[in-house]
Amino acid sequence: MKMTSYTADMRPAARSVSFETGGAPTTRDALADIGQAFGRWELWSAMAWQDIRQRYRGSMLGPFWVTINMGIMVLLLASIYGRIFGATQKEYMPFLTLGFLTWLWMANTATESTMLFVVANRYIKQTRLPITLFVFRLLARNLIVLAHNFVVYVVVILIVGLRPGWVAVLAIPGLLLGTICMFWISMFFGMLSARFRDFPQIINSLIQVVFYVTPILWQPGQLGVKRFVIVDFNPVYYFIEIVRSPLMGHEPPAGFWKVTSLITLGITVIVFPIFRRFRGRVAYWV
Amino acid sequence: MTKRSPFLELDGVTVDFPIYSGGSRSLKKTLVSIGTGGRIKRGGGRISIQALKDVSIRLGHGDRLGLVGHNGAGKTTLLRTMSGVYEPTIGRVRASGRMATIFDFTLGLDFDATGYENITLQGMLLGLTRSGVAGLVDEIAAFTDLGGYLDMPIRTYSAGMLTRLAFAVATSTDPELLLMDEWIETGDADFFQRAEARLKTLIERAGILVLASHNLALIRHYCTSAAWLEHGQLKAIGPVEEVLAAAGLSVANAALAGRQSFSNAQ
Repeated sequence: MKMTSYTADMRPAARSVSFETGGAPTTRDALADIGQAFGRWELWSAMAWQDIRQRYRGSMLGPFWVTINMGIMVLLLASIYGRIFGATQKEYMPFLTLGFLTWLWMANTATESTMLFVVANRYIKQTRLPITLFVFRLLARNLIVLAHNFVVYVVVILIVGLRPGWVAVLAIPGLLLGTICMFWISMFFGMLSARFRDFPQIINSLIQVVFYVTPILWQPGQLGVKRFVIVDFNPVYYFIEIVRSPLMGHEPPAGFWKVTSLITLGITVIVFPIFRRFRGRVAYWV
Repeated sequence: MTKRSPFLELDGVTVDFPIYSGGSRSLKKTLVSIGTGGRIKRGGGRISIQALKDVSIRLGHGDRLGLVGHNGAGKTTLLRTMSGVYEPTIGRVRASGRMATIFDFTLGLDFDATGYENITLQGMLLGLTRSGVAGLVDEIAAFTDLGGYLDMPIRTYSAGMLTRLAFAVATSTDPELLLMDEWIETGDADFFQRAEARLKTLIERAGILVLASHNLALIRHYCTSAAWLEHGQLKAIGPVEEVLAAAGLSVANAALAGRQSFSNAQ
């Protein structure tokens, strides 16, 4: 028989659901939220690209606009601060670029995470989607931007003639660890900001301060002291360094993997119970 | 996989919406008030609106429930609670089956993306995979009758064209549980008829239908039972005519209700 028209029988099944709401929050439900969100990677990655397209709509270069922006910024900053610190550009330019790159990635993720659930309020109130999906969308979006900015690094090392070698691949676990850490931070900031609307302002002003006290423009060695409490207890520094060092061509300082792993573990242990407890309340807050 | 019939059960469901006024939305003020011990906590210390109160409904295969009640009676909240969006403050909601909801079907439309891109995005929002949507595109495109417009950004569409597109996607799956908030108003006459036919098929194939509407003719036509909500409470549930009579929604009120339905759709 020849098929002439489309019949209802050919329609794909609607999404299968099986849930029970209203009970005490369980670890199983919390893990299911993360698992289901992960399973719908096509949706959140599409949403992430959609966000990027919307942000750079109308500009011919698209997301590469940030790349150029970043390139000019690095060039100017390196010419000034390199002189101030008396560093050679071969060392200083890649250092500044990488620090800036990873800093922007983490700072933008953290800043945007405060609006994470609030901007998705229509989705959250209309459809039963795992809330983790919106965190993945945010992380994916910012990793895409990071990948665009990475072009600046490639250009810089070509100009200054830096060959990082195989140690550079260590940046991948570095980024992975940073992403896991940012996952929980974003979840936490997103939930807190949905509930308390003055939280984003608090975070935004904090982030600006952190930039200046983190070794991005300056190197810890330039402080003239062996140990300095602001550097030693600045978690952002450790996360930047596990990406920056490998791409500079050397391994991160001893103990940095341990510190970043422990911080990630600690944040997971703190945020997971909050996520587990308040996951179902987000729909009421946004 | 064994075939289980779909179900939707609500046991003593209460939904409270917290009202955050003034200081309770502020982290700073909340922390300060904890620190100074200045706030007297009474009844949990926050104001809330009870949108649903002790609602129990059990639906199984073949049940077609119409929700009636005034604006603000809790129909939309009930539907969203049924769909799992709002987790009840007290009570339980259990649901199992392939579910589709038609609430605000323009959700997630990207006005800078083309019609085709929007079909993909919306399809994925419904829970389909990218390749699953790909298999549907031709059918959806044919149904919308938008032709070459599907290659254009949807910001160039008229309101009617947007409705066509979103409607076609929203009704492209085959659900067992169908939750609908108001009937869809679809503009021009020609499309209206095709849309009606498509919805009819969807409803007939769904094991469970919950339809909230002010349009009593629709409720009478599609539903086998009705539930009357007032101030978040289930006043009556049972055969359609009995419930409508109990709700005082006789023929005289139907015209008024029809008008409300129109303003509701705006």
